[in-house]
Amino acid sequence: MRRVGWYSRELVLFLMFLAIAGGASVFFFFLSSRDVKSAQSDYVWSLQVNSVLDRVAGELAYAAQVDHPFEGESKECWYRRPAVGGALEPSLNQQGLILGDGMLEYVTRMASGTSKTRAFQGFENPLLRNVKKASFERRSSNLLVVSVTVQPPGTTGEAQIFERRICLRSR
Amino acid sequence: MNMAGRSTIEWLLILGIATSFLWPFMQLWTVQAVPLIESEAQQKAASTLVNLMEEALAKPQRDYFPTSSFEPLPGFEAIGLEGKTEIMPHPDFSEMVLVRVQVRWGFVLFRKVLTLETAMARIRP
Repeated sequence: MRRVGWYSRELVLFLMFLAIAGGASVFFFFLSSRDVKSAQSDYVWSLQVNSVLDRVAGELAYAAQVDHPFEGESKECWYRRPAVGGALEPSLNQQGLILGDGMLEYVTRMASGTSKTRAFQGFENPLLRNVKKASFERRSSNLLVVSVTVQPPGTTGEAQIFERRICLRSR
Repeated sequence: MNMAGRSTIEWLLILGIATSFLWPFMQLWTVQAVPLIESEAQQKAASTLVNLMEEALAKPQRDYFPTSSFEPLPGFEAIGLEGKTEIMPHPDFSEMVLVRVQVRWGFVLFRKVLTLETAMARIRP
């Protein structure tokens, strides 16, 4: 049987596939555009900041003793780690998180002085860069609030505030 | 070509093909990891959820039952985040309380809810 011309349903199918192909190619162009790439890099950046803050929150929550923001607000936080295996705590040895030069750093303080530690749980020092403002606030005996305002690495983005509330388990 | 009558096996095949196409999107929805669309709100909601839980754990008294309705959280008006904290008696152990925090955002049909629960002793050790 010879056929001449198009059936209407073939035309509909053809147009539908054409529309899908056109839409898909527009979508792929959109996916590889600069806007999407900058959105992705912003997302990766905020993911990194969040994971650093999660580690910090975990460390402070299970610290044996949080010494420095005993009350009120501070730019530094000094604490002691739990000693391994129930040993006595070293008397003059504190870990700290301090803000200086727009960077949040992890340091160790001893009687002889303060030294910068190379890494904090796998994160290189400084933990965060482009920090506009950071505060450690002791709201009650067992509630510590860490609030960090960080500028994204690009020039255009506005600063974002990251906050962690930490229930101190040692209290 | 007969469009009217498709056999059962044909319908099953069509259903299978459609499912295999749509299933990855369904999975993305269930892990709530669709990039570019929800990622920022998702991260903020997750960290806010943990903040709410830590605040509830730090409360001096555990034996009270606050209102069980969602309230808008300050600072997150842009994404319309609402949170709820419930402290209730544990269903199994009378000496424990169950703490449940929830955040939700988005509108009807596209609303997402994240929930976190933990059990604690009612009286502090």
